[in-house]
Amino acid sequence: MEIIGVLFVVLIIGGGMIFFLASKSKIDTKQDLSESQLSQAILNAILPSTTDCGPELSRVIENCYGKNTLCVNSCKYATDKMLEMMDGSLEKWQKPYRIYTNKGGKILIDIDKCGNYTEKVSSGVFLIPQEKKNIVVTLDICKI
Amino acid sequence: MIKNKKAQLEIMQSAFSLLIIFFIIAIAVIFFVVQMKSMNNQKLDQFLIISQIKKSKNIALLPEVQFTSENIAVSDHYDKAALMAFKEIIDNNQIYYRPLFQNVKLRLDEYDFKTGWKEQVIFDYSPKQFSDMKEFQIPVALTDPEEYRKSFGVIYLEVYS
Repeated sequence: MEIIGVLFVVLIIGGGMIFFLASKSKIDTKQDLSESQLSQAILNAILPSTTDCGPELSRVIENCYGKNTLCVNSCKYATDKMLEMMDGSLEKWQKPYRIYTNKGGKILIDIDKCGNYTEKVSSGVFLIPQEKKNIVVTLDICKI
Repeated sequence: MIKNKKAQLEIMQSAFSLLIIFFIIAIAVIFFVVQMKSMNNQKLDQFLIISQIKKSKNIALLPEVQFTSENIAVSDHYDKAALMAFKEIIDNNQIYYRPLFQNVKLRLDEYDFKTGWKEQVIFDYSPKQFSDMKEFQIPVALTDPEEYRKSFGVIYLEVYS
């Protein structure tokens, strides 16, 4: 009877080990490699782009914190265009994101598509130099 | 009679002991095989991913299409005119480019502030039959050297295996 008990225990341990190995999650190497610098690459590509009304998008954002007159309404124009650019990239790849501009705590442009996903996968920062306080454009990609 | 029963019990005990040893060995073998299989699969996956990333890097760092400022290549920045000319270059030099890229499709999505997104295929070496396809998205800045206008684009790289 004791031997049957030992056998039972051995079987349970063996079964447990097999189950553990089978259910072990795989490492997603591709995701780790590709997402680490994605947000920074996007910011570096979108902000120097030339708008249809003349200046670079970074200049339009700069004007948004000043007279707000470029491209009729700088803040609205920059928000709309950034939203369109994100629609064709991060939104299309089903990656939730948040892009916002900050100057000394003043956030004028804020597109938040993270919703309930609050944990960040990667974060990129683009600095628009100013005389007093710099404008910081941040792009966060959230974890699904 | 009692001796016979005792002997029978001893035989049964030995049989059970052998059975336990057999089970332990069997479980150890199964454990080893499962572990080896899992490790091999992981290695194979990683090898495939690394070879796909290598191909994507081959294309991303092509000097033929990179934007240069005073002869210095700017990372993640492409020359739009060179990229369009590359379509023709690749068609005329398939002996060189085909083995370099193998089964790859490259297309460019460009954002235009007036008209929105537009897509164009740079080259298409995708096979008719494939077991796996991975898509890489490379966000890039594009510069039109004629008007010196910069735009936002995404290079889509479909790597087939």
